[in-house]
Amino acid sequence: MNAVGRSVAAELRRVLTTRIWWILAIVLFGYTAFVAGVLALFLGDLGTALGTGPGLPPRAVADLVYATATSVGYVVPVLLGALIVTAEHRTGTLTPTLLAQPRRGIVVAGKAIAAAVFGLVYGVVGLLASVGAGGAILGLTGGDPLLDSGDTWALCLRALLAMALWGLVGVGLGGLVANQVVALVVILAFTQFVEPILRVVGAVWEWSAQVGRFLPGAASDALVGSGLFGSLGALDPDAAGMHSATLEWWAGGLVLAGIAAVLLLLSRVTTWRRDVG
Amino acid sequence: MENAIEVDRLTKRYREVLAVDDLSFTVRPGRVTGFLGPNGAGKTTTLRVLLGLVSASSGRATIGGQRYRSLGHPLREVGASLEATSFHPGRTARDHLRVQATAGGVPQARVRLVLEQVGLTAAADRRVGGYSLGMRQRLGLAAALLGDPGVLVLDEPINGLDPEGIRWVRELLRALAAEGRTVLVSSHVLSEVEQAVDELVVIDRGRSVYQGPIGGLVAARPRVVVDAAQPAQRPELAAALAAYTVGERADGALLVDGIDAGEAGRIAFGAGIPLGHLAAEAQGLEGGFLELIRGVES
Repeated sequence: MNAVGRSVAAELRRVLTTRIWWILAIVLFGYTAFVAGVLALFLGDLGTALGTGPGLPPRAVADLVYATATSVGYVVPVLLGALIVTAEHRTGTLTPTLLAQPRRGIVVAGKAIAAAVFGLVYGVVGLLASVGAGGAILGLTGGDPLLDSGDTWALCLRALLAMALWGLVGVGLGGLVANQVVALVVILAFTQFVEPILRVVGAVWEWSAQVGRFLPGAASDALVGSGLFGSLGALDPDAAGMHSATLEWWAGGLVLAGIAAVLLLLSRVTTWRRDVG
Repeated sequence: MENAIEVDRLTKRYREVLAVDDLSFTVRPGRVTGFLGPNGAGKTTTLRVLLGLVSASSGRATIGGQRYRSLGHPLREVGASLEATSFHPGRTARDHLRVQATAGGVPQARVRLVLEQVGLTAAADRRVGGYSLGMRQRLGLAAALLGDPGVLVLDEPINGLDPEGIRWVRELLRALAAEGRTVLVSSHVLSEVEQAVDELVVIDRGRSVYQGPIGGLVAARPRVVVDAAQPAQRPELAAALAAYTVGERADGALLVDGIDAGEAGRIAFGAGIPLGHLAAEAQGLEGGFLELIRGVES
C-alpha cells in the first residue's frame, strides 16, 4: 500500500475505534426519518385530503421527502469531518499520527478521503431513513412513493455525492479552526442559524437570490435536486413575493466541491503548518 | 553514521523565548544516552524538532543523516514516545497500536508482541481513559517499539512509574542498546536514569553544558566532606585545604572540590590535623549534575 492508502486506512480505523461515528449515524437516522415522515404525512395525499397540504405533484413531494437525507442530514458528515481533525488536537493524538506519517499533506489527504467515505456511509443511512420512513408513509397514506422511478434513484446518487463532499468540507473547516469547541460552535451556528437566515433574507430581492445560490447549503440542495429551503420559493415562485434561484445540479456540485477545496487548501497552508507540541 | 542521531547547531526561537540555543551533539548506537536538564531546558523542543513535529529556526537534527520527514517508513526506523497523555481516552490500547501499525506500514502481528513486551496484554482491550500514568508510559513504550526500530527516542519514560516499573524500564533500555540500537532517553532527574545510561548530554537553557560518559560528570567534580576531630583545629584545616574548599556545611564541616577523599586525607595528615570525618559526598553524581546547572545559572 502506498503512503496515501496507509493514511486513509489508518484514518478509517481511527474513526471506527471510537464511538462518535455510530452515535452520529443513529442521530442522523432518527432525525431524518422523523422529518421525512412528517413531510410525507403533510405534503402527501393525506395533507391534500385534510386540506392542509399545498397539493403538490407527487414528483415534487417525493423529491422533497427523500432529499431530507441531505437537507436535514448534511450537518452530520460535516461534524464527523471536523471531529476527525479537531479530536487529534484535543486529545494530543496528533503527535503519534505525525510520527507515523510526518508528511502532513498525506495526513490531510488521508483524513479528507476517509471523511468522504464516511459521508457516503451517512448518505446511505440518511437515504434509508428518508426513503424508508418517508416512502412508507407516502405509500400508506395513498400517495405515490415513486420508488420505481429512475429519477428517484438519480436523486439518491446525487445525495450520496453531496454527503461525501460535506465530509470534505468538515475536514477543511476542522483543519482551519483546530479547536474542537470552536469548530462545533461554528458548524452548528452556520448550518442551523446563519445560513437559513441568509437564505430566507436572500429570497427577498432578485440580486440577493442570485448571490444566495452560492451558499453551501443552497449549492448542496441544487446538487441533490431538492431541499427544504429551495422548495419554499421554487415550488411557488410568486408566493409572498419570494425570489428564488437555483444552480444546475452539476454547478451546485462544483460549488460545494470548490468550497471544500478552498477550506482544505487554506487549512493546509495555515494550521497544518504549525509546530505540534 | 548509520542510526546515529545528529543535532547540528540547532536553534529554536519561540517569539521572545530562545528554547534551544546553538545546540550540537551526537548520539551513537549501541549505548544508552541520557538527555538531561531541568524542566524547561529545551529537551522536549529538541526532541520534537528531531521528530519533525516542530520546525527549527536554524540548524538541523537528523537520524542516520536524514531528516525525520524524509524517512520512508519512520516507525520502522525510529521509535518515539513523547508524552504519556497523547492517547484518545475512548480508544483501547490495542486499537491505538493497530492504528499506528496501519499508518506506519508495520505488520499487525507486532501489536500483540509489543503489548506482551511491555506487560499490557491483560489491559489491552480496556479504554486508555481508565489507565494509570504508569500504564500510559508502558503504552507509549509499546508504540515506540512497534516498528522494531533501530533508533529509540524516549521523553521522560520513567515519569510516573513505580519502583518496579523503573527497574524494568532501565533493564529494557540496557537490553535495547545491547542489541546495537541507538537509545536516547530524556529526564530531568539524573538519579532516575544514572543506572541505565552510558553517555550523557546535559543541557540548560537550551545550551549544552556537558557531553560525555556518565563517569566524567562525577570525576570532574569529586566533592568531599572533611572535618577536624577537634573543632578548635578547624581554622587550621581550612587553611590547609584553602585551595580546594568550596563551602562549609551547616555543622561546620568543609566541602572540598577538585580532589578525592584520599588526597584530602593526605593533606590533613601532612598538616598534622587529626580528622573526625572524611567522606565523598553521598549524592556525588546528582550533586555534579546540579552543580553544572547551578553553575550556568550563577
